[in-house]
Amino acid sequence: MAGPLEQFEVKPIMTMVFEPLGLNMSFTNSALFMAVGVGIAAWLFKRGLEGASLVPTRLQSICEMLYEFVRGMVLDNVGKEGLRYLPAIMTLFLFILLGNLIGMIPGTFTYTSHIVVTLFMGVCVIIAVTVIGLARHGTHFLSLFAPSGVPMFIYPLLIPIEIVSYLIRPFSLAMRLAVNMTAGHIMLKTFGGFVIAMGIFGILPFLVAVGLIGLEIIIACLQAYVFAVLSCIYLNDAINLH
Amino acid sequence: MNEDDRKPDFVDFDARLERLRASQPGSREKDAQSSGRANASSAHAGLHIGIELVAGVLFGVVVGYFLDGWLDTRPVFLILLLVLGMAAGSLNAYRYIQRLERERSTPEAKVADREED
Repeated sequence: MAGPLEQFEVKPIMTMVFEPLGLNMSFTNSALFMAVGVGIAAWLFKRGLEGASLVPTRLQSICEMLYEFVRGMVLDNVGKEGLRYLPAIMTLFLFILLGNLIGMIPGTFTYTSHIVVTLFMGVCVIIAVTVIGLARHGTHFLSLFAPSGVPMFIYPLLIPIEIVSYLIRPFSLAMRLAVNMTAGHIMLKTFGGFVIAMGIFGILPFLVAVGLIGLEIIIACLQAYVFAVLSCIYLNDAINLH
Repeated sequence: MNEDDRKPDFVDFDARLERLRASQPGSREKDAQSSGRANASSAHAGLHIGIELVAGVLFGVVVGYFLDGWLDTRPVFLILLLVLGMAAGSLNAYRYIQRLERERSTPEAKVADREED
């Protein structure tokens, strides 16, 4: 029987090694499902908004609900100024959501379960937020690291802690998503293994697995939402500097 | 979007609705449902805080270890960043709890609105 961790293995589908620089640029199963996720999102919005009408079709209303959901999230957490960055948040949300949901189909690969992928997205968010903050407020942005109303002699201790707590953000973003996806999939696989191994009593773990799949779908949506909401909150820190 | 100019009139309405719901016989089911949701969101909050704390320590260890390897100062940065990471992780967890408290203290009407969106 396949081990519970085998599903996370990255396997090259098309091996491509760029010899002069020693780069391994193989097209892997991870890359394939990322392409599938992006393809689904592009198809959905292309088809859904093709003949956009006042009374929406089913696909159009899916697009509209997704858009309004993310727009409401940005308005709630950042305000009107944040709408300029709505496309980035929307892309991030859809990419993670589709990655999580595609992973729920048996036999597919969950690219959001890899910390490389999630950490890259987290680092992108934090770099973008820092650049936006510096561009909007100049060096005044650095006052984020020095809260006011604190006695002078605490600053040498407080400023490093504030800076580190800022730098931790991509780590905690990435870990939250990857850990949730990995843990859920391992759990599903383990219970799936029990179903076969326990013979006739396998009906019990089977029932648990059915419940777990429902829970996993909730978590898949929730984690995409959490990632996007936290990105909004970090963006808010940069835009509305207190 | 026009919830802001609507809200003052609805504060009283919410209170009356709440009282009415409490006196209705069929309200227990609703209560159980909302307490189930509260439990789920508490579990989520706990996980969030846990990850926040672990991420701080992990960040300190990883960055400290590689910084030491690069600058050839073996335990200095590891220890320094581990302590800073722990403190920063706690700070992030504390901020998250503060935000949670703020969200919980806002009227339920707003939360319901957001969920519908």
